[in-house]
Formats: sequence, C-alpha cells, structure tokens
Amino acid sequence: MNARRGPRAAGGIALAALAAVVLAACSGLLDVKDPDIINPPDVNNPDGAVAAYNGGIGDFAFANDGDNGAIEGQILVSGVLTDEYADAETFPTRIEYDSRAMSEQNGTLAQVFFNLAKARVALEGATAALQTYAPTPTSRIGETLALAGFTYVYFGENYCSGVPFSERLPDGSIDYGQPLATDAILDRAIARFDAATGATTAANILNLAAIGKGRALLDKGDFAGAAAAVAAVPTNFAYQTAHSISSNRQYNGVFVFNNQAPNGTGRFSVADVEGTNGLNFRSAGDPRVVAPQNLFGFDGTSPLFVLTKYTSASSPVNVASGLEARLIEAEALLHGGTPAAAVTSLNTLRADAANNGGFTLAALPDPGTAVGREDLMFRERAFWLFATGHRLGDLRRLVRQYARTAAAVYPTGVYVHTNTVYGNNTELVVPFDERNNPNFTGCDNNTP
Amino acid sequence: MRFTSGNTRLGALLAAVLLVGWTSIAAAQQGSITGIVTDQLNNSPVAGARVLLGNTNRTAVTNTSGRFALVAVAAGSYELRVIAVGYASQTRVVQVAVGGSASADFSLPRAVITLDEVVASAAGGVQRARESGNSVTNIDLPKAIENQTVSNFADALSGRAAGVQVLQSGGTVGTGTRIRIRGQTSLSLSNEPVYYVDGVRVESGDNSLSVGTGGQAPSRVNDINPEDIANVEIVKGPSASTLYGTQAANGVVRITTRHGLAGRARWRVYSEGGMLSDKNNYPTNFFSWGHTATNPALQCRLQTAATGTCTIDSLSSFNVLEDPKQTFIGTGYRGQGGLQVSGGSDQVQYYVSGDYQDELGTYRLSDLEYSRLTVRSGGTAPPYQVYRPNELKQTSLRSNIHAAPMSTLDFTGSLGIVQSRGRVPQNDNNVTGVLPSGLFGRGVPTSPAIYGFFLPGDVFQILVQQDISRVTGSFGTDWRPTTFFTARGSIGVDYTGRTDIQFQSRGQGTNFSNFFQGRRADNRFSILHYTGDVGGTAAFNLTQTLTSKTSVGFQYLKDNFFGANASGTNLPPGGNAITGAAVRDASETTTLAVTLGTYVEQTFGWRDRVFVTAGLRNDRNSSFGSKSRSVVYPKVQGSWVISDESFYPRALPMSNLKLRFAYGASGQQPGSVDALLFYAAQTATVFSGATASSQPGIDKAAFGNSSLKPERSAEFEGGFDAGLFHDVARLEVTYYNKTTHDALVNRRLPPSVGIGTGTAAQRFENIGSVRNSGIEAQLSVTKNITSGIGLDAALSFARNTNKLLSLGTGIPPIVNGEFREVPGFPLFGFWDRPITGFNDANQNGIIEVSEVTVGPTAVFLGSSIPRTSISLNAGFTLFHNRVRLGGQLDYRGDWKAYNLTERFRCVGIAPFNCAGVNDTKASFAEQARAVAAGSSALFFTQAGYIESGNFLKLREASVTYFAPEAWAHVIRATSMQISVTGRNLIKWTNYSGIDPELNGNGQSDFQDDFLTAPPVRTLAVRVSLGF
Repeated sequence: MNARRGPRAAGGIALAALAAVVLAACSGLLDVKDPDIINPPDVNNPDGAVAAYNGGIGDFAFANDGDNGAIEGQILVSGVLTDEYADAETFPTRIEYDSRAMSEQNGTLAQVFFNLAKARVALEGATAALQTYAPTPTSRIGETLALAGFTYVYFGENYCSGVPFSERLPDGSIDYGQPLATDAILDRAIARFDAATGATTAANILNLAAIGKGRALLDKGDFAGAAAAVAAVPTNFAYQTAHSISSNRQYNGVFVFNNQAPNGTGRFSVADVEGTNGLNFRSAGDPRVVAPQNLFGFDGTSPLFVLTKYTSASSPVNVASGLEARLIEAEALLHGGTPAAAVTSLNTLRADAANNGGFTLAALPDPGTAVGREDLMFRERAFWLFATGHRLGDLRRLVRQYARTAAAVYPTGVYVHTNTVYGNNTELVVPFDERNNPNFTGCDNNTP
Repeated sequence: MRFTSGNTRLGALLAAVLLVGWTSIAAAQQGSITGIVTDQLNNSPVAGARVLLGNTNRTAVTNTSGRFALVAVAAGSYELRVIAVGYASQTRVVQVAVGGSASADFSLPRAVITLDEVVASAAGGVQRARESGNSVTNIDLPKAIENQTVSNFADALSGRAAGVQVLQSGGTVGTGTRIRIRGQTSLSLSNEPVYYVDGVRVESGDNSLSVGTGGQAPSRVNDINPEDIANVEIVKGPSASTLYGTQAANGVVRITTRHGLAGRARWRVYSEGGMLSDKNNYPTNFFSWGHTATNPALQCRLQTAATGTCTIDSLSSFNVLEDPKQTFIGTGYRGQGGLQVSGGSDQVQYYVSGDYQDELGTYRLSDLEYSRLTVRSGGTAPPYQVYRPNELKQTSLRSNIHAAPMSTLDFTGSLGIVQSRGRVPQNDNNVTGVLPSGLFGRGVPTSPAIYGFFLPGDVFQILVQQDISRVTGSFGTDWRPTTFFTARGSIGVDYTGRTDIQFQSRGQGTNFSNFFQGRRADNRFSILHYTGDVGGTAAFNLTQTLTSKTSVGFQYLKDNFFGANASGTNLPPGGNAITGAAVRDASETTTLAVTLGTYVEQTFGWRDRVFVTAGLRNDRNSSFGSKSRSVVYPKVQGSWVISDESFYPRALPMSNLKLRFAYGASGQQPGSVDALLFYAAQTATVFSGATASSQPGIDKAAFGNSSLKPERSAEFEGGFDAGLFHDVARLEVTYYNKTTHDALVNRRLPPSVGIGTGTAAQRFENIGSVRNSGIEAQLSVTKNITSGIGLDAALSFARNTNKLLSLGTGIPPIVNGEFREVPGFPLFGFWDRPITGFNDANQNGIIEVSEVTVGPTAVFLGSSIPRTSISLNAGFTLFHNRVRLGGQLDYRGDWKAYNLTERFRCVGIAPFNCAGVNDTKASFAEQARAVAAGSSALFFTQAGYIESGNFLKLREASVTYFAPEAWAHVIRATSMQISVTGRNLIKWTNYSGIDPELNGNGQSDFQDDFLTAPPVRTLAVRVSLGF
C-alpha cells in the first residue's frame, strides 16, 4: 500500500478540487426568500407609502384602544389606573395597575407602552413615506402628523416625566433617546400638530390637530392658548379610530375587555366610587355613562358592569371631538377672570342635544367657589370624556395645576378586589426594558 | 496543479481515472478469509459481530450463524479484529495468499463495553472507541427496552446516559419531554439536541402544536418508534459534535435503525397490553365560610378574619379530583403490537417492521357527567372523543435494506413511515382546562361550585387533535475502490405533514368568551429536512507503527417549514367547517434555512494505542447576517490506551484504561430572518369618508442585524474509561467545560425605539457568554454472582454547573417573572425577595402581613433545572437467565421547582381555595408564603412557592420470564418471553406540589408547575415471540 503515494496525493488533490467546485456551484443555495416578510425596497413607492399610512392608522387604533382581548390600549390602562374601570379578572399584571402598585417589570404595561411607541414610529415613518412617494392628498400627511402628535400627548399625560424617544438609524444602530420632561414631550406633540396644520387644508385634519394642540397646551397649563387653539372647531366634530372584526387586532378593545362573553372577555368593569375618591360613574344615573351589570367578570366573582357607549367590537372610538374643544374653552374660563362663565359654558354643552347624542342634561348650579367649580369642571370632563383616555391626564392635572393631593383624587384605601391596599403610583410606569437605553435610569412614578 | 471552478471536468476526470486505476490494480491480487464467531461461554454463534480487516476499510458482519466472509482481499498479512456488543474484542493475524483462502474462527469472552466498541464517526463511517477522545455514549436500545414499557422515544432514553436529562413535562398521553445534554446553553434559542436517523437530519420540534391546550404539546422525536432502533449514540457537546456544524452545540442524537443479518428470515412478534392509573396526590380545595354584619355568608379568609372584617364560621373542604364519583380521572389503557422480519443473503439483507400502538389517557367522563351530557343532548350519548379526550394512536412502518453487489460497494436504503392521531385535553394555564377547574373548586361536593371553572364534560367537548404523516427516507452508498480509500455519499429527506385541529361545536363545550358560538382552527404544516452528504476517507499505514486516516466531506442541509393556518368563529348550528364561520381568519408561515458545510479530519494513530485527531468544519448559512457569511469550527482530540503499554502495572484493578481529551467548537444558527430588517403586513381599519373598511397596511416588524452570526460553543472534556476487575465492571469519568460565546440573545431593546414584532422591541444579537461545566461518571457491572444468578447494572452520575458569564456591556439582567438571566448565575434561575422570617406575634393563630418579613432585594433562589442527576439501571438474572428482575431509580437534585399551582390557588384567583388562606390548621409556613405572595407591602414575593424539587423516583420495574424453548416450540416459535413491567411507580420528594417535574409551559425552559397533568403509572404485560 505504501507504494502508491503518487496516486494518493493526486486523489486527495482531486477530491479537494471537487469539493471546491461543488461549494462554488452551491453558493446560490444560500439565497433563500421568505414570503412572510416584506423587504424595504418593495415598499419604496406610492403604494408602499399608502400601506405605511394604513399601518400607522392601524397601529394608532391598536395602541389607543387595544384588541380582541389580548392586550389593552391607553384608554383602558389609564382608565383602570384611575376610577373609570375596575379589574374583574385574575391577571396579576392588571391587578397591579388597578391597585396603583405597579412594577416596572409589569409585562402587560410593557406591551402597552411598546404599542404606543410603535404607533409613534409608524406614523412618523408613514409621514416621511407619504411626503416622498404620495404627497397628495395632503390630508393623509396631516393625519399621520396629527396622530403622531397624539401619541406624544399620551406619553406626556400617562407616563412619568422622563420618557425617552429612541430611533433606528439607517445603518441599523440605535439613537438612544434622552429622557424628556413632560413639558418637552408636550412640546413635541405641539410641533406635530403645527406641522399637520401646515401640511394640509383638509378641515377634519385641521380640527383634529387643533384639538390635539389645545389638549397639549391644557396639559402644559396654557389655558388661554388651549382655548385659542380649539376655538374654530365645531362642536359636532369628531375624529375616531375605526374598528372591525376582520382580525383580532382590529377589534375595539375598549368594548371587548369590558363586555361579557361571547362578545367580550369581561376583564374590566365600569367602576363606581372606586377607592373612596372615585366618581360615582354608575350610580349617578347619568346618560353619559350607562353601565348595567351583566353577570360577572372573568374571575367569576366580580360583578361586571358594561358600558353601553360602545355597542360592538366594531364601534369607533373618539380620539378628539368638538365636545372636548368646548370643555377646553370652559376650563380656560376658570382661569380667565370669569370663572362663573365656565359653569355657564358647561351648562350650554349639557343642553346641546344636537351635539351630544340626542339627550339633554339639567343645568348645574354654580358651586360658587373655585374648588367647587374645579370639581364640577373635572367631573363634567370625566363624564363627557369617559373611556376616551382623558381621565389619568386630568387627575394628574388636578394635582399639578390645581394643588390637590394625590391622596385626594386617586383611588385609595382598601383595594377590595384582592383585599389589599392601594399603592401610591400616580401614572403608568415606563417599562423596565427601557433601561436597555443607556440614557434612561428609571423615573419617579409617584409624582404627577 | 491547481484546480479552479473553471476546470471542473478535468478534476472529475482525473479523480475517476485515479480511482478506477486503483481498483484494477487491487483486483489482480485477491484472496479471501472466512470464519465463524462464537460465544466462549456456550459456543453459540454470535450474530452481527463486526470483523475488521487490519487498518483497512474492509469489514464483514457475521450472519445469524456467526459466519463471516471477506472476499477480494489483497494478498498479504492482516490483523483480523472481531468486535461485538457485549463481548471483549479479539484479534488474530491471518495470511492471505494470492488466489487462496484463509480461515479464522473466534471465540469471544463476554465483557462489559470494551475499548473496541464501534461508534459512528461524524466524518462518516465508524471508528473504534479507543480512537475517540470523547466520552462515547452508546445506548443499546433493543436491550434497554427489551424488558420495559416505553410509550415513546423519550421514555426509552430516560436515565440511560450520564449528562443526558430527560425532563418529563407532564403525564398527558401524546405530549412531549425536554431533553437537555450537559445543561442549558442558550438564552433565546432551543436547548434541544439535534437528531439524525440513519444519517438524515430529522424534525425534532419540542412544542409541536399550533392550537391551544394551555401548555402541553407533543415532541416530534416521539414519532420515532423505539422498537425500530438498533442503537442510539449521544454526541454530548461541541468537543464531539464539531463536524456536525452549526446546529450541534446542544449535542447530537444519532439514531441507527435496525438492519438485517444474512441468514434465514427471522420473525419477531410482540404484543403488549397495560393499564394507566393516576397515583398522584392532588391538593384539597378549601373554602372558609364566615359572616359580616351585613352579609351572613361569604368567604372569610384568614387574613380578612385577622383584620376583623369578617368572622369565620366553618371550613368546607373537598377533593373533587380524588372523589371516585366526581373525578374525571379514571383508568387508561395501552396496547401495542408489532411484527418484525429480517434476514437476507451475504449480498442483500433486509429489515421490515410494522408497529401499532394505542394509548388511552386516564381522563374520562364520570358517570355523572356522561349522564349530564346525554340529557343535555336529548338522550344522545356523548361521542367517544368526548368520553375519552386523550388518546394517541400511532402506526409505524419501516423497511431497511443493505446491498453489497460487490465487495467494494455497499448500498443502504431506509424508509420509515409514521401515521398518528393524537387528542389532547385542555389543561395548564387555561381557564378552560379541566385540571385547573378541579383545582379551583370551592371545597364543596355539589355542582356548580364543585369545579372552579367549567365542568369536565364541557371541557372535553373541546377537541384538540393532531394528525401526523411522516416519511423519513435515506439512501447511501459506500465505495471502496482500494483498501485504504472509501468514498461515501448519502441523501435523505424527512417529511412531516402535520394537521392541528381545534374544534368546538356551537352550543357545546365551555361557555367562555365567544367559544360557545362554535369555533374551529385547522392549521396544516409541511416540515421538510433535506440532508446531503458526500465525503471520503483515506486510511493507511505511514510506518509500521504509525497510521493515518484523512476524511473530507461536504454537507448540505435544508430546513423548510410551511404552514397555512385557518380559523373561524361563530359557527352555524351543526357546522363543522370553517367555511360556515361568520368570522374567518387565515395566515401562512414559511421558514427556510440552508447550511452548506465542508469538513476535514485527520487522525494519526501510534501503535494502536495513541490517537490524535484534528479537524475543521466550515459552515455557510442563509440565516447569518450579510457581514458574517462563513464560520469555522476547529476540533482536536486525543486518546491513549495506557493499559496497552508495557509499563502499565498489571496489578492494578483496572484491567484496561484509556485516557482521553477533546476540544471542539460548534454552534447554533439564528432564525432564518433574524438578521433582516423587514416590514410585516398589518391589516387596518381605515375610514374613507364615513365608511370604514379593512385596508392592507405595513409596519416595520424587525430591527435587523447585519452582523448576526452563529452562537459559538467551545468545549473541553477530559477523562478516562477503565475496565475493572478483568472487565467485570467499567468506569467512565469525564470532566467537561463548555463555554458559549457570541450567545444569541433575543435582546430586549428599549421599547421607545418602536420597532418589533409581537409584544416588544427586540432583536437577536451576539452578546454574552454562558458556561456549563461538570462531571459525569458511569459505572457498569456485569457479573455472575453465583451459579444461575447474574447482575447487570449501570450507575450514572452527572453534575452540571451552569453560569451566565456575561450579558453584554450595559445590558441589564433579563427578567421574566420569577426567572432571571443574571451574570454570575445559572440561566433560567429563580429570583425573588426571600421570606426572611415569620412569627405569630399576636398569637391569634394566623400569620398576618405585619408578621412576615422579606428581604430587601430579589436574590437567587435556585436553579430551575436539576444540577445533579443519579440514575441506577439494574437487573438480576435468576435461574440461569430464565428470569430477570430489573428496574430504574432516578434521582434529581440541587434544583428548585416553582409550585405556581398552589400560589395561584392561594392568591391568584377566586375562590382562593388553598389551605394556607382558609384553614386555621395550616402551618405558619404555609400561611406565610401565601401572605407574602399576596401583599404589596411584601412585594408579592413568590419565594415561598419556589421549593426544593429534589426527588427520587422508581421509574421502572420489570419481571421477565424467558420461557423454555419447548414452550416456544408448541406454537412453532423459537423463543418466547413474557414481561410484566411498570413505569412511574414510586416517588419520594419533599416537594409540596403534585410533582416537581411538571412544566406548565410544555417543553419551555421557563419551567413551572402550573395546573399540569402529572405522570401516571403504567403497568403492562408484554409477550414477545421469535420465529
């Protein structure tokens, strides 16, 4: 055997060469295409821009309202944290924020925060795509800018002072955002609303942007500016998120989480005087918040009070309305030297059947005191804007702008659902995952 | 001369000329060798013994008469070596003259595994154990399961090898198990080994179900019929799996199916029948009744009573799961039958088999529930699938063939077909689960509060069914143009057709969410794994004492996963199809991945006692990022059979001793699109004027990482294999140290970045490193104790220390509930604030919030996977091998199990029915952990429910009677054996839950005991006949 060294060497070389040839020929095998994904070059065109617009609209609706029972949106988490809704199920993460005792590792809240961030990024990305590939109609650009502004409003109203906004850079790296104080967040919102106003002449978008700007200015304490921003909005205006039952993500989560099977999951029940300080939403007998009991919630023991305002999983949800514009104007009157006029303004709204669903409400007497008028103002806002994502911002403003204590406005005392005690959180937590941003080291969730 | 891709033809031509030339030279000088191999003890023929012709590639296998023949042997002097499982090897020098024939007979002494045991080589072909620098784990499965009841492949593997943990997730028939080899390596990727059957990479998905059951799901490895397996070789880590490339970091399980031997057709018929019974203890449901000033009857838990809010009046307790009239847990049944035939000529051998098994789980409708459903449906009895909601029927067919038309050419073909249908009940983390319902009753024996959620009959009306059609085929050839060169080629494909169905008729089943309106999901999958392998090995003597073996090869692996999912809700009355659903949904899933690998391996042997091997594998993979298209894995290993040295002291009790070491690297590939930035389709409802409609939308779904590369694990292992007391016993000891670098972590990004799929912003990054180190030892003994009494036993010990070494700069620990990934601690470790003390200070017999203290921060509470494993497989043969008593004891230690079931019963959900919050007789410790878990002041710590999971189980026991041949002859058989076997017989543990091994998350590494059906006892009788 040892005599055949020559053939052995040649054979080895031949084998190596064959292997090299085979490999070279097979390189193309590594190029596989996955039909599940859409590659960026395929959407750099007008159709892609419109699809991005649709995606942004859908992401906003999802972040705002939630889905078919898997994850809630901003309206529900803020409503449950405050006195609008009470938990009627078993998930510890939801019990945490209902009882104002949240961990920044709360998985549900992490997803809710991410969904809002995703909507922001999608809307801003859609704006850029529309500007490049589909600049007309301009209403789409204005709409995505205005809704991006509303995402900042939610960050400002519902989360602590110190929310960062990070971006993916074209090379795949991350521009880690610096934590922004609440006012700076609201300034970003205002900038988006102004940009929307400058981008289009479509009336409905101008109204949407105007209310968004007014809301942000109200949050900043610029009451006169807020009133001026919304002055031109007609009372019968409404901008709504749209829903359908085509896919789980398109369901109206505000309806689903509150309703009984088979149409809902019965996780949240409309509350009444929750934690001593809560408003008597149910027992007031107010046509703006009608919530009869329908058996029990998901846990089988908590009575489930179902809001009749949303009638199905396809019901639209108000993002901004002329009613809110009038409420902003009324609140500005509290600060404008004619506080009694604020009550008059509220009563005008209560008597306006044409613009509030066909019913009228009896006029409210003027309490005659600043505190009384403030209470009246915020109660009216709470009932008019029930389940639209305004209540948490209002409770925080009561502390920040009206010198109330958190203990006087948030639910407190015994948390009856689990027989524990309410915690002292006053806003939603920025999730623990944000600590992957080196600029973020956490923030205080107990200071409105 | 240098070849490039431009002169392919020239290279191929040259290779062909060279090989043909060698063939013709060799054919001119041939002779033959024949002989017979017998058992030294009783002179019976040894079938299947392997006869090796010196340091050449020529081998022969003895037929059923023990005879062998090596033809076309070049003239010369050869050392002929005979190797057979269960025998010591023998060598003999044989002279072959030109045109002549030589004879060589062998009489083999029995022995425990020897150093000449043959193991598969990753580079193709086989090698002797003495040549390997790795710990070699070969499981002779036919022998292991001969006397045991095994429902599936995982059962067969359990407790057979040191360092290989088979973790039972539960006891639901048809569901899976986790298999972990040398610990957990990956934070975000699978920690399961990869599987090859007859050289073909096969599907081994460990959570293989797409419709909801709550947690339990089948493992695809259990499609493999243990009866068809000849041998299982476990390649434990990168030091041995280097040449398997980028999927092998968690180890490789190589399965070789049975094959035929030359000789007459030999038939084997077996039949088994048995019963399954649940001997677990389930916790009792409690409900403490009390009153307040305004409410005369309500639940008054200990904590509420202690505050004076209510006064306790009485305590109800009832255990519905153990009540004979009410429970849905009954007796299950198991039946199996099979037929195998093998035989053939010297040129062609075959093996054909068929097997059918039907295992029925223990769940069934109680008489009460049966009657209730019958009445509800107007007198029509519930269908069988409702009466018996858990069953697996499986049919396996196999046909293997080996043909050697020439002494230089072999063909092998194998074809395995599996058809199965399984039905699985609802359980685990699932409000429609039946066990959860039983565990959340209000402690009363009457409906509806007897169950917490839904009655069993309603739960059983939810059908979850999985159909499997699987075909695994391979074709291979070995061509030996010379005695020193072997060329190999093989191709194979594993196809799994899977249909998952979930169905609930309108008006039936659980009235939860919209389920009562009827629903159906029908998800169909095609899963394909293609394997192509070509290579060659040249082995020759460089000098009289120095041998060389060189292997090169090329491997092609392609993994395809196609899925089409359809579902519908709100079915019409009587509707069974999605077509009639008011709301329908559809989606599709595709995953494609391709690996191109090349490898080269060089082994030098010195005097057949010192071996050094080095190798390289290069992989390119479609899943790697654009910046990392290629990766190289090296290996080096050595072995020294020191007992063959002249200076080795013969006085030592170690009659043979091999020292060994190995170092090697391997990897794990990322997912097929993990490196890419892409958009996903996302339908949105968009207004156009006053009309809303669904419109196609997109958003950025993945962040992309162009630098993505495989996770890379490098392992060193060293140890020795020793034959003790003249090979009566064998001791193997191995230390290993495996470090995974560039660990692929599905890293959470700051959510403010706003890009990601599902629930969070995340992307795979190569960050962090993980180390697994440990010791494995196995002591095997085969001994005739006295005349007629023999012992065979294997005691294995494994200790693994797992540690996350780092997690990338600036990246905080990964927190997932009670599980955390923290540098310096094990992966998937349990963390929470510890309960530091409790004391009934006010002596009211109730532990209150103020009487419990917890630590200031979360601390490491323990590993979620056993770090110490000890298994004893032992058997005694009595009455001269007429009777065998066998069993397996399995111990797992140094780990924690998470009793989430009890935590949830205490503080998670009404009616809060555990003893700790209702029963004044509950221990203070039990009360304290409930208090801590339910109190914000105590940070809801669940540390009290994270308990020692240590256990000792008698997994198996059996009695086998080998009937006299005369009995067999009565029915014209040649052999007969009857076994009575038992599985899951006894457990010893201090764990307070149902069973510490339970995993409510199926085969996930996030293991918790959460409302999962526990393993049940199986008793069976098995009869096996040979013809």
